[in-house]
Amino acid sequence: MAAQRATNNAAQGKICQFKLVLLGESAVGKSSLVLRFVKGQFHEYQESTIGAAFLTQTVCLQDTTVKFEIWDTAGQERYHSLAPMYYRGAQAAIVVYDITNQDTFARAKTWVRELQRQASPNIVIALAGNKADLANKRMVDHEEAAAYSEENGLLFMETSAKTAMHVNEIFLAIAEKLPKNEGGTNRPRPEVDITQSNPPGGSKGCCSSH
Amino acid sequence: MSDENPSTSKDPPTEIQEEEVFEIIDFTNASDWEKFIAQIDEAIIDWHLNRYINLPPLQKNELTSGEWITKSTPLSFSNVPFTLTLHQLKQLENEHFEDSTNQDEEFQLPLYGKDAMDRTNDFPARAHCLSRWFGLRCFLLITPDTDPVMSKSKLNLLRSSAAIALNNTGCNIPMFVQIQEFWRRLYVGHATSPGIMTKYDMVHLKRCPVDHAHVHGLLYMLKAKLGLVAMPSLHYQVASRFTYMLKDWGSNGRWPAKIPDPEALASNFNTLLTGCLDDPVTELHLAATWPYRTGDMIIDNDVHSDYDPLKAPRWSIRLLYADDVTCLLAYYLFEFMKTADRRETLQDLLHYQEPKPEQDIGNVLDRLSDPNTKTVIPIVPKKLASGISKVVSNPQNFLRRGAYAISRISKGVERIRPDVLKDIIKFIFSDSEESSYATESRDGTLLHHKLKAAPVGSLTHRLAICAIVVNLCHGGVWALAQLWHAFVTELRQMLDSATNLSAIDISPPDLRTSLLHQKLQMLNCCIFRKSERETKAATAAAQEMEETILEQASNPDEVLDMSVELTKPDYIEDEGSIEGNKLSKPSEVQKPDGLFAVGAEAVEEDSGWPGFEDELEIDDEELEVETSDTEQHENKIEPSATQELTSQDTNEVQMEKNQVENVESSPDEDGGGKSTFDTDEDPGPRQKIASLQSESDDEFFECEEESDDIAVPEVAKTKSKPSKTDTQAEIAANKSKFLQQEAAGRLNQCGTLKLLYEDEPLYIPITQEHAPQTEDQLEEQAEVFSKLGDTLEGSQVRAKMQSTSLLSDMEAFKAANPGCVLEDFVRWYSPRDFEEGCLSPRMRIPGNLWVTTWSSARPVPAHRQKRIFDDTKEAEKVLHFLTNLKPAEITQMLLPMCVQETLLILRASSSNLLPCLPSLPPLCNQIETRASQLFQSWKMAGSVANQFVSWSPDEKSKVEDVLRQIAFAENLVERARSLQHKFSSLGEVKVVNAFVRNLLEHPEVELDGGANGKQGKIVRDFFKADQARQHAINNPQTNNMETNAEGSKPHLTTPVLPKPAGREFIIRTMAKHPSRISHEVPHRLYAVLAQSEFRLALSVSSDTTFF
Repeated sequence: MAAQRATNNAAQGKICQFKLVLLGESAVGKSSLVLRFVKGQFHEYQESTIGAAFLTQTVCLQDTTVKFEIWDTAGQERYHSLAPMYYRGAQAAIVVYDITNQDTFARAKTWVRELQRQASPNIVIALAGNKADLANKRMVDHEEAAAYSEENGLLFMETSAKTAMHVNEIFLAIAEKLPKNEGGTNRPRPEVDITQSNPPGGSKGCCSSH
Repeated sequence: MSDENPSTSKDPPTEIQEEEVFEIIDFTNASDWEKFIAQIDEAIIDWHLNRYINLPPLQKNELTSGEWITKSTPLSFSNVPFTLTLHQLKQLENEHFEDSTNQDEEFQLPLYGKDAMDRTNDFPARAHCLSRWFGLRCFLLITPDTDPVMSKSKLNLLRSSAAIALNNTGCNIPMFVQIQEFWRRLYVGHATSPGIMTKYDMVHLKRCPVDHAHVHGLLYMLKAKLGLVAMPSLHYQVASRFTYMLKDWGSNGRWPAKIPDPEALASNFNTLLTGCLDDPVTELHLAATWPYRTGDMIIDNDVHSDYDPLKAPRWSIRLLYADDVTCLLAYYLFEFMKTADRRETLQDLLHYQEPKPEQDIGNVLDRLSDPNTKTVIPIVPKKLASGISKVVSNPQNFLRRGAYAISRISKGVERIRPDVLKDIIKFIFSDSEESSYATESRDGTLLHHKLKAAPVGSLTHRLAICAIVVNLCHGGVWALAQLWHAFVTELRQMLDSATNLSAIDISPPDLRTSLLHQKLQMLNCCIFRKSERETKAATAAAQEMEETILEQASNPDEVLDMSVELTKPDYIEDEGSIEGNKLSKPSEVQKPDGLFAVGAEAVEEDSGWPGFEDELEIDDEELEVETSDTEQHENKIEPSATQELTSQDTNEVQMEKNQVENVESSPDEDGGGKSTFDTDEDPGPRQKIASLQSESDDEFFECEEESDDIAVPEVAKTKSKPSKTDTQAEIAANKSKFLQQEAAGRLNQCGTLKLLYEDEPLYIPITQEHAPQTEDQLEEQAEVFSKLGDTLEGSQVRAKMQSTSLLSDMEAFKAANPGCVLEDFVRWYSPRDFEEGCLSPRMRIPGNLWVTTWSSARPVPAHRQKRIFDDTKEAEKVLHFLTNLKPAEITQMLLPMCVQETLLILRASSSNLLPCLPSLPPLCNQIETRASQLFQSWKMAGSVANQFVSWSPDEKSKVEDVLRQIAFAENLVERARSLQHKFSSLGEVKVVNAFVRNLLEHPEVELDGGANGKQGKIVRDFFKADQARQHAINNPQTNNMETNAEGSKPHLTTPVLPKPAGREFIIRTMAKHPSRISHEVPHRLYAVLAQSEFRLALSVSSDTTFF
């Protein structure tokens, strides 16, 4: 799948395109998060996703425009075998769980493990504890999830697609963390010493007197 | 300060106006000359050089080891462009600039004067020539941009400008002007400092004047110039350096010791060979240095010289490297890249060869399939073979000729020999038995993911290696076309014979790998499914044959039964989705299967079974009561209904047949006739039917690991007692049902769950697998989805498009769980949508796809469903894609694997060479990063599946960039190896490596112990051997020495070292100038005396205070 297709339109107006995949148990709110992020909407009852949905959204950072190509996958176990297809080419993943259900957190952990093992090594993984508006039914501690994320180098936020809490934030945080220069053109690259100190033909420079 | 001239020339109409403006702004610039000087002034001030600069003395070798920085600015002298450049040693910036305030109290030498007298940096190994000649660490230089300064008057004008500017600004940095032709590197200069002024002059001649060809002559010249002829030579310090050149390393030092064998090169398809075809270390320059002697100690005149290089206090060597030496890895790659520019199609190239009979690709392929052809080691073209013998017979030019020979390889042949091609194909498709790949210590664990290539040892990887080798050694792009054609043909054969590709794992395409690899994985998946299906079909067909024979004898009605079954393909073709079905037909037709013949005769009988249809309708109606779907009554209106009906139809008919069978073969069994429809206790035959149907029709999904499968063979064996194969549960289930559909396609129970409205366990059905996709297909899907937009309608269409799989699962579920409801399904499929005894609200949204799909789902076990993944069609797509690639595109597709291989090889070398080439691993990492960025971002797959997108010019230049880096890294490796070889007699590996590292990292290396040290001895031996060879050539009578020149003692009269290629002298003195009452000021003469060059660089200072 297309990796970062960074095109230098202008000196500053760099556009980076990133594939992002949403993973997690069914009915944790993956589609709702995407719907909130892409269209700013929320449906109390969001139809269960069949197969996978595809949406795009563009966010602007200081000097870069990041276009997310979002694959919103179905959470049912039956569709698990399809997931590699989506996450293998992805530069970012949001693993979603439902803070009112401990099982979905356990499932999220398995997803993270799978991503760490199977996905691209520098994939940016974010963990989203969704349905944060249902704090009274909370079953997963914020601290526990935060500690887990810390351990595993994940971005972590508790989100609520319903109240829009941290939804844009988590996508922005991912955009910030993604390597913008890869695939770009004008990056000063780290040179190895020997190329500098011993340029081809350098020994025959003007210092030679014979 | 703007220059009005460019604008006036550009824009004549406004000339007057602009000139007026200019005059007003800066009327002081009267002439071009003054303007020119003003520009210089400005630059000096800009660079903060308009003050007295003093710095601590130079460190030893600082001129070489320090970092030089340059700044430049354009100048213009009445429209003639010049450039003013500042060269300075970096350290200058870090130190604070000392404004000497006490300059009046005591006469002090300026910085440039001290540096010129400083003996620690004589003969720097690498520095700007002005720095080397005049001993400077900081200077300004004016160079003309276009035409050289040839006339004396211009020279004087420029020189004066420099002097005036330096005076104006109080800058004490020397300023030079380049004069004469650029290649002569002639400069004149001027420097000024309080109390002192220095003039820099040069002499440049082709031949060395006899009078000045020695130290005495030079000394005399300097004395004369200073007007101090009587001054004793004692006061002159002389540093001397003689340089000797070695261009032939002799047989001991020659690298590569053995040139790569072209034959090995042409016949090695496992990996790529490494090595260079010529020595990357071309010359050795030995410098014998006498850093300090006073003039009176030296006897060096036209009759005698006491300079003996073997006794010189300091020996140092420098090596010259060739950057353009052909190294094999780069050679493979660059040759391969050439095909990326070709425009021809595969057909163009293959067609080109066809007229020649022996080149007929058909023949090649015929032979391919001939198992008796013996394995032949690939060839070397005859031309080349004879080339080798010539090369070997002439050791003098062994290396260069060898390189030439290799370079001829690809030009000699234009095609692969059939037997070789056969071997290559055999190798590519062989099992991955070669453990050398798996056990290889190269760190290739994730490299193929990083580079988006293919696993080492995989089919794709091997193909790439073979392609790059074939391209180099077996005929270039034509051979590549041949190979590709043979490869695709072989793939086709593998598909037709349902043989899995051995060197590719049977798994869905891995999107981290190359598109080509994904395509091959996809093909392998297809082959796998096909072979599975065929195995099953074969088993079933065997049974059926048996039965047919039996039954035809006993039951004449049987023929009619068969005909019903065989009508199905017609219906399905009406359905219109069945390209794949058609495609797969030929292979089926070839199957010697009596059934088809029988069926064909009886097709017209199809309509003559109203009774069964009636029964079927009843059956259907009853089934559909639960889902209240009454469409069924309008039979044959909707295609899916028709199909469904037909399968039911066939099923029932077959049922009856089996009943008859059962009655016949097992009299003790209860032959209940039509009662089978009510309480069917015999699923065995039904399974068998299913298998048969799948065989006769590709449309149906073939389950793997059907639990029922196990029953099939048993039924076949013990047809007489089919009921024994029923599980207890099934019997119970079925018996308890009145007019209930039979449960089918169960995988296992779903925990302890029971159906909500039936007293039955909830069974997980056998389901169809999801269709694997390659990245281009996924991309295409994404494209379609994004075109649908994110509107409600759009997402509904999208969901509908994807509901195939859901529908299939629901149908399988219904088949496995008679009497089930959607809630049952959701409990298995999406347990979180079943809360507290009912469906979750989102599942109850009216008209949501889950509900509608459920209502349209009929109970059909997976094995009788339409295939979701049409492997026949997908396989054809892959082959079509591969067949239509152009050679240029093939190259592009294969390149990541080739780069991967070269990187692995370089990595392997780098671990061996680490002690002497520590910079290689970072260089490899750098290449890896660049290649990774390139291949990751390269979108091979377009938005239309099965389309290949060639790289853009930008991508191509990046590819070339990566290849150049690889070539550079390889060149470094070969340099290191060459030096290791040359200095291997130094002793321990550690010592050798340390010395080699030193040589590689520094432009010039001083030898421990000079001529008499270990290193010196090796160098001496190289020269000695070379001298002996030269001597032998010049004295033919001693020709016999040539054969053992290296080992034998050189002729007594032969000196160890040849005549020096160049002699350099630096003569310094502090002398009163211009008069006897002047201060002692520094004077310096640098001279180089070479065969075709005589150069003097003289700086003479004058005391400006006292005359």
